[in-house]
Amino acid sequence: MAKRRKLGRGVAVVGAGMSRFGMFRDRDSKDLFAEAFRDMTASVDKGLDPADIDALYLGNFSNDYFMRQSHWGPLISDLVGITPKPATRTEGACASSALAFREGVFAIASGFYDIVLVGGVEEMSKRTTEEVAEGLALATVPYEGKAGFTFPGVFGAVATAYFEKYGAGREHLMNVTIKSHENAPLNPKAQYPYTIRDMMEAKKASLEKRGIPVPEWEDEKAFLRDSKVNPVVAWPMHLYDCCPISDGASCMLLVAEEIAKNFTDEPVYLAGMGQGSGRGFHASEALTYFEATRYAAKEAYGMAGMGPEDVQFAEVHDCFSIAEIIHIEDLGFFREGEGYKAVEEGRTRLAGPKPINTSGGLKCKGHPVGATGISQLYEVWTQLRGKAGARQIPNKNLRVGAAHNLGGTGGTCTFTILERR
Amino acid sequence: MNDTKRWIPVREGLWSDPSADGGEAQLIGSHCLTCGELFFPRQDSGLCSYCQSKDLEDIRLSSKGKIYSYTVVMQRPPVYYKAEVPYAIGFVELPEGIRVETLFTGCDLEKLHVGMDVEMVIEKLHEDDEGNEIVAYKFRPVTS
Ligand SMILES: [Zn+2]
Repeated sequence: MAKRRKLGRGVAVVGAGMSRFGMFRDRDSKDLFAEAFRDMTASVDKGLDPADIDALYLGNFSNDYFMRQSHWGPLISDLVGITPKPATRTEGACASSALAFREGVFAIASGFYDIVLVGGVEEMSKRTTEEVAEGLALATVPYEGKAGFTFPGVFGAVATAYFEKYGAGREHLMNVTIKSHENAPLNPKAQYPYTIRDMMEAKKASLEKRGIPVPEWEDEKAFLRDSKVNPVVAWPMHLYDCCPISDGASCMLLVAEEIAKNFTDEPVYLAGMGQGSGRGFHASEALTYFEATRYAAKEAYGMAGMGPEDVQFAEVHDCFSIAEIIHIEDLGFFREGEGYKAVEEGRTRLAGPKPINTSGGLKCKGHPVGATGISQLYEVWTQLRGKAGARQIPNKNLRVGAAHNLGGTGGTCTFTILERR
Repeated sequence: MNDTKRWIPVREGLWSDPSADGGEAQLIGSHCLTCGELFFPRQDSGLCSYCQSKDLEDIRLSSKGKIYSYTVVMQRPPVYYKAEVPYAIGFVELPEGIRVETLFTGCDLEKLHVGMDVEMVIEKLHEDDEGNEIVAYKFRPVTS
């Protein structure tokens, strides 16, 4: 039996914010973080004096590469006016800001700080797709890039193995994409706030306008089956199975539980958190699960004294559609090999019994890698406070939600459970 | 300067060099004498990453196995992959029970399937700026 983790003192989330995610030609990391910070301060019900912030933990994967600029901790603390308070950067590939969140929790739980700002930022779209892919490949095993291993390639092989083992197919991946795109238009911060049907109708209109014959797509799946609009990236991963390149920022205000009510009458509390590391697929027993996710989940559930059935909804790391299917199994929401059936049956839709990625997920909301982890927690926090607007989960007793963040091809995984009491 | 052109392995130490020690080129892995675990590529650290033992020996891996999983990549990957697109990559399971990440070659990409019998070959990946051939191990279907 694993050791049960506990905090030295409780930690609450009393504010959260994020910038809009997207590809912004005319906006930079500072501008985006400033937007997230303003959004966060506005969310603190009883107000925040930034001078009271004790420290900043900031997740950033690779602005060094993407923007030829490193040392983002103090750049951001200067931006939001909290120097000379300490600023520390965390890096865990696509899970970089989930690690910042954890550091903030440790700092408060230890009694060292009372009020901590945690955040994440990434600016990727100023690079070409090839350059971004090269930057992301920095998170994989060194020589493999030369031999053609890419992120879509690895997840393509993961999907093939999953299909073979459980009898799933490409149509099941489409169900994930269609579901995420159902939620996206309801999220004003999403990079692609469109349903697949919206995109299909827009494509028809544009073809018609240009006098090009319009294909007979009878439904969303027919549209996604059309290789002209949805080409293969790495079989069976098609364009609509992959998350986009994005810029964005996110942040959260963490405080010691005993002072939470100074900031809001409705704090959200940290119930459990876990983090795991993984060897990479060459050494995994199978390609159909992530060892690090399972470990992170076990730690988080143990700490929270909860099981998967207690988590009412979650954001999971859908960098590729197949990843969402596997994560919802690894996190225990559905049995091994049954994740794809759950999605097909609508169980993970907004109105389903276990809503997954109500934000639209990485696929539609966007994936500015360093900002992603805290943007997922932002969604959980927003849902728990009943402030998710049109995408609010229709459950009057929403109490527990969680976020799962994955770095690289599973080298770093985190799982964080938040609750309302 | 044609005579200076050479075969350059994509990474040193992945396979045995037949010109140096005779026989066929074979992938080189590590075998932990303490816990029995196998590794490919070989553990250059000299440390078993399962049991921390330093008792590792180099072993020659089987050159035949079965496809465990694969994908066909249609989109050109980052700059340092300079070979042809589309191409197939994936994982081959060797009889020893170890899984190897590999490129596939020598067949119609459409014909690849899980469980297919494949064998290892050393083949050109691409040429570098001086015209040297950068070579890698790949697996191709076994032709009976
Ligand atoms: Zn060992």
